[in-house]
Amino acid sequence: MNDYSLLLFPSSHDAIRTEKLLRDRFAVTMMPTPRRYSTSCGLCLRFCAADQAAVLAALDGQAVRFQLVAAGAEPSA
Amino acid sequence: MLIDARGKNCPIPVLLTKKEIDAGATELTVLVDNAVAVENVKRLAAANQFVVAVTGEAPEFRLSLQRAAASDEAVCTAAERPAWALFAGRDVIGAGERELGEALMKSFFFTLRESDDPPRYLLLMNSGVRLAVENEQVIEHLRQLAEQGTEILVCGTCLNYYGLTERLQVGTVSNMYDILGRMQAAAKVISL
Repeated sequence: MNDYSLLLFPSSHDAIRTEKLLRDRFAVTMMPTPRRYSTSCGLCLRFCAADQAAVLAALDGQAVRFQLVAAGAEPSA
Repeated sequence: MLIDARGKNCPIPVLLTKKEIDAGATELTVLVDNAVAVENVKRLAAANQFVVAVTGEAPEFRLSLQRAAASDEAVCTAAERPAWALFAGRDVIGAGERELGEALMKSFFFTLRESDDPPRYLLLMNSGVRLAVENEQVIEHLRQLAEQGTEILVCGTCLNYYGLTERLQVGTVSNMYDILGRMQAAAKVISL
């Protein structure tokens, strides 16, 4: 079973920009922010927890704002 | 009960079979002449708790359907969920900035694939066919929907127009007759 991590964003612009930075190098999935993290229907990015260090390294120094949460094995909501 | 649906185009074999199932048949033999009809009748049978055995080959496949000894509860659950169709006539959601429309489309198909009531049919036309060709995230979601039983029909005219026919990643190349037939067979059609 895969464990996933999530990136949450303060704006949809950050979500879209971050996805563009990551999508050619990592298996990222754009999904609605799970309800337990937000009452709004924002966009977040899901990726394999095993890639977490590499994803954070790839975003280091980039002009995007995000919050990392470990989602565990649950796929959604 | 024998249903001879050879020479009948989709969705006629499915409709003939469904009519008998709805009438209370517990054992059916269905003759069809093409592999697509075999798959469609099998899917219908499975959705109605029938066990299917297929013998023969083109131009005569013989499907033997027998109602499985399912619990009443399982039959009710299946019956309460009318088949619905999802129509995507473009590769973005809504009108506005393209990058937002693309992001919404990815998020939508993730949510759809995780839902407990996926569409029976997904119909892709015009630039909607690009979803099954170019968008890796959506393609992965479509594959999972297909595994869950969603039939994905992709407009062949549109693939041809955009020069994408050889690059289709998921779904079946289809035509206006079949796409209209699925719309008419569905209890509701939701358009994106």
